[in-house]
Amino acid sequence: MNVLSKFTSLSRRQIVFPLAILLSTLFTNGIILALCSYNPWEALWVAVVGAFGDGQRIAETLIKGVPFLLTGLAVAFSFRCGIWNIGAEGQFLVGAIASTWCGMSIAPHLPSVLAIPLTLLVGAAAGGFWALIAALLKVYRGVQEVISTIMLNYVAIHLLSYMVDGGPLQEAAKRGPQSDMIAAASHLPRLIPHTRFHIGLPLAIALAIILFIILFRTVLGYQIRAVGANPKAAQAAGISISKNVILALFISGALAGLGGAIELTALTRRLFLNFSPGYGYTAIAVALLAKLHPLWVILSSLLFGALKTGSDAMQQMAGISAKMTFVIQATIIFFVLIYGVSGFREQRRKLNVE
Amino acid sequence: MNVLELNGITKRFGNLAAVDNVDFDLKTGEIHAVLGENGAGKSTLMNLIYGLHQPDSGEIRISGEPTRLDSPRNAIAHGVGMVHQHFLLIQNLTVAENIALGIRDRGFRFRRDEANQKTRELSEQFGFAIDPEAYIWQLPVGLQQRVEILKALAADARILILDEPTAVLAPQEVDELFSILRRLKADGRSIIFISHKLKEVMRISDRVTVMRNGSKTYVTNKADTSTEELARQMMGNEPPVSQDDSELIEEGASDDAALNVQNVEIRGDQGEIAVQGVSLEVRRGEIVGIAGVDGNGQVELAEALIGLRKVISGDIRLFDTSITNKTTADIRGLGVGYIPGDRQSAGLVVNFSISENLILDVHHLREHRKRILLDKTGISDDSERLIRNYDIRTPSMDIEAHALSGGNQQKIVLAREISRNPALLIAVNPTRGLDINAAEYVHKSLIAQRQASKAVLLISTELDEALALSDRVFVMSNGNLIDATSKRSDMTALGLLITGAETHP
Repeated sequence: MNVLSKFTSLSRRQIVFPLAILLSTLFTNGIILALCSYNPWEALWVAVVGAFGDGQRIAETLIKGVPFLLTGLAVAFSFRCGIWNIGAEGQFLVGAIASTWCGMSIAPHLPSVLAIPLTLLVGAAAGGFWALIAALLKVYRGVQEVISTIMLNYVAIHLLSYMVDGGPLQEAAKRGPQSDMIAAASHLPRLIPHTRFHIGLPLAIALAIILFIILFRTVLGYQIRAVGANPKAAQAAGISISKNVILALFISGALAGLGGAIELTALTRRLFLNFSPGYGYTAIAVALLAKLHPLWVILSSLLFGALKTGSDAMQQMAGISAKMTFVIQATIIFFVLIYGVSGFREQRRKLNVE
Repeated sequence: MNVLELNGITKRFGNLAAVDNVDFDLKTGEIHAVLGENGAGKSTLMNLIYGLHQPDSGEIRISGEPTRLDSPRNAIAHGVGMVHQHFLLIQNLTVAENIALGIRDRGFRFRRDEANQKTRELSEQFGFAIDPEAYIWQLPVGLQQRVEILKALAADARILILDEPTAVLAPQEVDELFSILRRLKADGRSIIFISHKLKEVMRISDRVTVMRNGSKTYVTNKADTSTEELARQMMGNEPPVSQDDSELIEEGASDDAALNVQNVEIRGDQGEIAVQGVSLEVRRGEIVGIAGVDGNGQVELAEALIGLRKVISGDIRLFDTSITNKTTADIRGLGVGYIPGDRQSAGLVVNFSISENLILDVHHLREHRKRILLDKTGISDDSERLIRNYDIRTPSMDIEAHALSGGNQQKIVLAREISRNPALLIAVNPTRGLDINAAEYVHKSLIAQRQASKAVLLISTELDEALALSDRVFVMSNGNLIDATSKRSDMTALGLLITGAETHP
């Protein structure tokens, strides 16, 4: 195949289409901003500079991607098993709550080498067990996981608000709905001076690679994908559906819980009301955009991280209201998903031709 | 006066003529039964009348007028109504609401009182005894079926097609349905009654049309025929070529029973007793065939044998080991292979590659893994060998299974199940939807198993297949298993057994 024909055969999918998506995103948002009497050019400039302007901002963009990465992996993993875990939000919060408890009550008595892994593990385990409730309800009582995981989100949100607002984790001074700082021994190390770039990102990327290996190279992953793609055939071949549903949801919940633990120990270092701005829900978009592939989740979560820092910058530097930046983020996600989903279809068409 | 006339109708799907040059007529105010085995072309013919398919050639006349029925909507406008075997009702709406949905030009506002009133009137007119305000989910199956009939009547259907209406009904409900049908007939409506149950056909119909292999083979007034004659017409006169008898004796079955089923009872999906105290033995080196029409308990039996369905009583033994209610993995581990009835939904993961599908049952065993990792090279060597040995036509083992033809898909299932060298192979409709060459390949594979002194249980709705391959033949009807080996050349007797007209040999 010569270079030219290779180029033309790729052109529509790989060049024209993303460009069209990019332009229509910019155009739509430009109009929205103009209609609301903002200067769209200034907003765009500020957003780009805000996300990528200098080393510190790039570091910020990268670490903003970490919670999206872990919750995105959680969602992608369970979806691969055919389980619609909409509960990454709750699992993320429960993970953060458990880590806070560990970071305040156990970590102070331990050296960092023990305190950090322990605090993270406790968060992951808590998220895993939170998801396990939904898994057991599904396997033994036939409860739809979509319903139960959403419900458990509300339970987790209210549990958090109890914990930090009058509950056992509220700060000693009892001024506001937040906890005290967790022990310094459990703080996740930051890697680059003068930035908040922390070890959580390499850790999460390593996890994405491990999950990729689990899904596509191991017996467990094979079973999980088989159950997700055709439970009837999997069952007829002797694969246990219950076992895999339970395992997949536990692992999924543990990933989201770890996300909460990392966010807490690396960045906020204390628990507070509204600890998550909805990471677990956005995670569904992150996972779908990545076509449920763990390695693509890395890129898709970084995109969402950039959106977050870009829109923060718009608020701070261009005076655009927070509500407005949500509208813009949503519009971008919408267009990006059009791109992602249409990719799905094209992939399928290609396979049918073969 | 013929309300409906079909002249020389042909409908092809690919190379297969599902309906081949069929003439059919329906008189005003008659009940006309259409009889035939699975795949005889009954459903296709009805779909042509209901506008779901368009004929490739031939003419449809309604009340004498040549008519083109290009959609169900168009057919309904011409007074054709259909009650499908699987009801098309919305469970969370009331009876009247479901009926109102089927009526066109209903305007913007839904007039509940009017709908209730109209439903009540229609229901009383034909003695349906249905509460218009009941929700569908509250109704037993028999009443749901009446709602379907009401839907057709509300759309002013003069021609009513009932597709196997008694398949889902209890005997008492069948009686009630028949009295309703008689009332409809008295009202001047014409009814096409599709069935493969001879007894019911003889009870309710005025005329009978028999179809076989897409052709109309016989049409008669009921008064001029008998169940025996209908059975003969339905099955054809020629028994299929059987295995060479000398071969049977020479290499016949040994005395060891590989599979021994004692008195098992199994529930179906709706909680009904689908298999009623069935006993069966399959010996090494023989193929035992179970023939019968879909939905008589064969699938439930097969699923229980492979551990996908629990038995409520009875015992299943593989050689001397009880496998009753063991897990599928355990039963497979003891040497049972299983070719499910529907390869797309239960035999394959169609989004998996061929090589992934080839290890579906054994991926966890030591020879296919290195600790927790799948043994990639081992698996691709194996796949390559199986693709070659079983002649799976594909450019690569990494192609997803859905991209292959039905025949090649089935070869994947065969390769997987047979290459494990199972002591017992259970095959359910293994050639359904395959072309002749692919079907022949499957047959040869089953016979090869038999020659290798393995036991094979073949469950097939195609009588020809069951007769041609099996050393012993059973018929399953209404959850009972009847030994039909002695009748394998008597098509009339087999027809009576299969259609449930006769329950004991």
